[in-house]
Amino acid sequence: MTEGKNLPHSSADVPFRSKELRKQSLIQHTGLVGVIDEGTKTIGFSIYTTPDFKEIAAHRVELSVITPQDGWYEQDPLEMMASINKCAEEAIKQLPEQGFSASDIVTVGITNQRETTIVWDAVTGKPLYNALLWKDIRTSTTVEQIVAKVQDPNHFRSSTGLPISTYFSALKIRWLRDNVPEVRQAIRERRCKAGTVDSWIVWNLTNGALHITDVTNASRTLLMNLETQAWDPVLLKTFGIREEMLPTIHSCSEIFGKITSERSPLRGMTLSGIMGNQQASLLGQMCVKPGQTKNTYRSGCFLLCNTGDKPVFSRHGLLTTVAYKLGPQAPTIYAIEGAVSVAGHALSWLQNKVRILPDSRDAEKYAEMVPTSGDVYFVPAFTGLYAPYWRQNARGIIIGLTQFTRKNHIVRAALESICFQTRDILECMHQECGYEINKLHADGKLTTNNLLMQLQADTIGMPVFRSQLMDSTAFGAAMCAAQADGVNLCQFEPEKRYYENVHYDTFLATTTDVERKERYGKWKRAVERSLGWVIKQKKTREYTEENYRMLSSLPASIFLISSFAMLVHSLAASGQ
Amino acid sequence: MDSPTTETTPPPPTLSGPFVGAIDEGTTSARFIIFRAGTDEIVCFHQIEVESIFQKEGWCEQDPMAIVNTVNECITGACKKLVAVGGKVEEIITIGITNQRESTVVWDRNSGQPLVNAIIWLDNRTTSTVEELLETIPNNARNINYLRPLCGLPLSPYFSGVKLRWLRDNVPVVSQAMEKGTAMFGTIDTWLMYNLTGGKDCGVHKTDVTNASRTMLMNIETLQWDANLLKFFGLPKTILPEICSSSEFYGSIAQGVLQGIGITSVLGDQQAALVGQQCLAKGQAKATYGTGCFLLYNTGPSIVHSTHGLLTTVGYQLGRKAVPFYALEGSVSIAGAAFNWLRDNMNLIQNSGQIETMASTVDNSLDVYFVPAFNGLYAPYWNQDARGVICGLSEETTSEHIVRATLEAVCFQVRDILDSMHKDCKIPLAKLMVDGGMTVNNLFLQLQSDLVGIQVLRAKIAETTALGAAMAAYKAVENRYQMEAPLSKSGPREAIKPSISATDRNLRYQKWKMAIDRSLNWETSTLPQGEREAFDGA
Repeated sequence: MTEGKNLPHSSADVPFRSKELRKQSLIQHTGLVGVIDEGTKTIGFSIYTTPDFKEIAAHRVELSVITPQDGWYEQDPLEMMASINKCAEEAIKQLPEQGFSASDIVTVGITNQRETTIVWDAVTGKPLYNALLWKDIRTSTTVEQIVAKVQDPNHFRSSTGLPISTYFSALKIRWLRDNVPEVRQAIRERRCKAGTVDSWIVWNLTNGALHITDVTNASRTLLMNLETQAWDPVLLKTFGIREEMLPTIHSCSEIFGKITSERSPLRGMTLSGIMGNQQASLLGQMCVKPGQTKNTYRSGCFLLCNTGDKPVFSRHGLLTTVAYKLGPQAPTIYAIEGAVSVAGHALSWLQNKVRILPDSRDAEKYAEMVPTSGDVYFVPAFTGLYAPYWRQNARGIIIGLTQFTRKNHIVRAALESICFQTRDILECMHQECGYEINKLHADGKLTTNNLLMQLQADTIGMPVFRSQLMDSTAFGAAMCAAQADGVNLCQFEPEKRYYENVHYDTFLATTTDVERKERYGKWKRAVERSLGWVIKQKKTREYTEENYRMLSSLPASIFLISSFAMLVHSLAASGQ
Repeated sequence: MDSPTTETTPPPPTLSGPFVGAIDEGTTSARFIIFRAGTDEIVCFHQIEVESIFQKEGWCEQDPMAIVNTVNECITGACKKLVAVGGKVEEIITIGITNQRESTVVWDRNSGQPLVNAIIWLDNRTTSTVEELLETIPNNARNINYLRPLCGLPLSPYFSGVKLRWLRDNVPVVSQAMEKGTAMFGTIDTWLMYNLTGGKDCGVHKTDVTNASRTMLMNIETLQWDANLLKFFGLPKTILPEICSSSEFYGSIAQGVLQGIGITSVLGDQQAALVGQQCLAKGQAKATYGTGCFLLYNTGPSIVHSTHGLLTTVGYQLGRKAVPFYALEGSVSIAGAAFNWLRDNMNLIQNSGQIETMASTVDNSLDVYFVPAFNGLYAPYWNQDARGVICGLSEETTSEHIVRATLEAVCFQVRDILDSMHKDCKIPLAKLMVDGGMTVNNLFLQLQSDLVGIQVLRAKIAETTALGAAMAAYKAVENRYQMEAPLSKSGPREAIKPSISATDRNLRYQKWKMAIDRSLNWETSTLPQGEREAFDGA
């Protein structure tokens, strides 16, 4: 090293030093993979080595959310692109100190917030409106129109895996067509393009040469047939959407094209991976066998259970979705998905609203001050209850209070409520997916709470494998891009498990079967007591027979519509 | 100063009596208050807190010797203050006693020493005893109202007879003393009376009808200990005090600054408040908001047996030969205690002065309802397995909404009881007299009036309980004293009127009943038999 300092610093020495450093590595690197991770709250760009998939550089920035009205959530599509370019630039700047350069990045993958919908002008390349976020519920009126037409909110479940809900892109495209004159005009003049965030990113990176999406994102639009994996003519007609507006559906892992945008630091690189973020997390946690299940713990929770090469349709309101398709000729793997609407959000509520928890990040410390919740149960049904209960008229309840109950017991009960709600969904998945579920993979910011992880294992009676990655999403997308045919940076062989960063902390159950049964039974009793709280005011007008017949045909559909609307609204505080 | 001087010292101030003293021994504090006789004017008082012992969940005890010592300290302290303002101790012509009811003391006849700690009224260790006693009822009826025709009360962990049975079954020194005939039982009034009148040497072993009516051992009609009740509980008559009226000479104080002064009234604290509020006619009712909340409805000379979960009790008997007046009673186990819980357990409030301020920052409770059934629910539900519940939580719920919901919880529980009283008595209540610490909160009284739909009249002084005992004591020594006459020269009580419509009131009450349903039977809640969970296998 001393001798090295005395050498003159000419440009010719840089490649030499890089080669020397690479020789020191225990593993022969075959190239780098970049990942664009476009989430609801943050955008990031990460760079991984292959085949060990160690993250060696990353940059993230926050994305602002625009809320013009209650229940409306938007983001600026141009800000998205500027942020991506900024993150890529900053991450690439970190490469030299690791002995690499931008030219070592062989390919790029994309993972994104799902359902969020963007419409833009194909001629000018400019957005016609802000992105409508997945959690936006302005489309509840559109949902009512469509349900009135088809008479059943689950009408398309067998072909799409989804109920008719404000969530999904079809409703958002339809709303934009009906309500934004510029969009209607562009559609009429056949210059309107629509897509999810991945499509918008690819369009921009390729100067409009590619208008594509992958099956995981497409499966969240309510326009794709799960079996054919093509846009469904019946759905297109129902929603009044022309196929030419929509992206071409691809697999998750194939060479899509080259990045050609002059504005992007990634110019010249290959694009070879696209996945919705929750599916990327499923892959990132190596849940590649049927029955393998992951939970991402944030303000809400998202559980996905791999159901193998056949879609499984839920009778309890879980969604059926594409998990991944790792190549044009690869089999399509499906999953069922359930959401916990209030998870970390309950802790924020205790901190900010009720003010019995000084800092929600310290929840573990406060909860550990008591050995149990003291028979206190907290059902945080702030906007009703979702899978598997689907009861809009439920409301939050804290029960079992005695003169000995302290705020620490309530904090602990809040943590336990996350575990019980997870178990509620796992019970459904276990019944419906047809495979054994014998462990739970966990990632997400909340998993840093060791007590939460232990309580989760204790509640479900099976091991919890916490990913040592804070967030497995970008890693999943990196693997997806790296293994694409023609890129061939590595083979996707999860069974070998030699990736440096695929390590787990294991939490084993310490409870007995009897204890678990008792406590889960009590949870169910608490859930029962949260139901039926919201009462509609009695109508002063008497029911006529005609009114009654009309009204009696509506409740079921109104219930599910508003249930989903409220689920989406309650997830507004969540990061997807 | 050796030189002669014409200057004279001004004479000391003088305050002329006569005075009447009242011992008020409550759950959390003891007081001795000196009134000007025949008025509600407080001359002076002394108060000391009483410590409770919580050994186990649901248990609550106090040291009987600490109770006596504290009362003696209060007497001494108040008398010093009387002298300081120019009065004379000799002008205290009589005193009365009012006390926390049902709390049970057992002591040794020979030594005068307690055999165990006092079991406090709200202790519910005796839930298991109630279960055992229910099993002994003929025909497997398990009817908690089996003894009600005799004593006016349902079987409940509350009452002294049940506590005595628990002591007999669980404390060998007590059961042995009962067998040998050396055990003496009393409620707090009896225990204080015994010690004040000389203890083991010449102490009086007496109680009054109001306290006796809380034991489940007294016949509500004959006002005497009932052989059938004693047999049911398996208790010997030798342990029991003599039952007297609420207003008569009991005995003289044996030592201390009040030596020689007579004790001429005894009333349980709630009955004393009924008297102190001058609810002396049939159809009048009062509510006292303290740690718990107690409502008494004067039913006159008639015994009214409740079919809606209320207790039938003696209101007062103002003289050995006087006609006894009865009352219906409903109790709320957690009232002010709910705010202590918000302060000490949840840290939502720093002091009770904040309650009104916080609750006033929100217009309503945002559909949040709090049932503070920490130890089960009393009238009219009598469900020992109920537990506290907060319903209706949403993202927008704040601590202010919870504080307001807590105020409303007390009001709703009062309405529960008044509704039952109305059903049993058939006489609609026109106004509710209120007293107790919580009544300083104006928002609370407005909510109470709103939620019961009648006028609420706040007592002019805080110490209506002690006042009632003083009035009854004076009655015993001054035949011409008219208890119904206005006590105060400064005008009528302040009246708070309802400010919401009957429709709003009933909608909110309906919601409260839903919340009550959710609090019931939590302690025993289990999975239905045979239900199998997927993860737990066979």
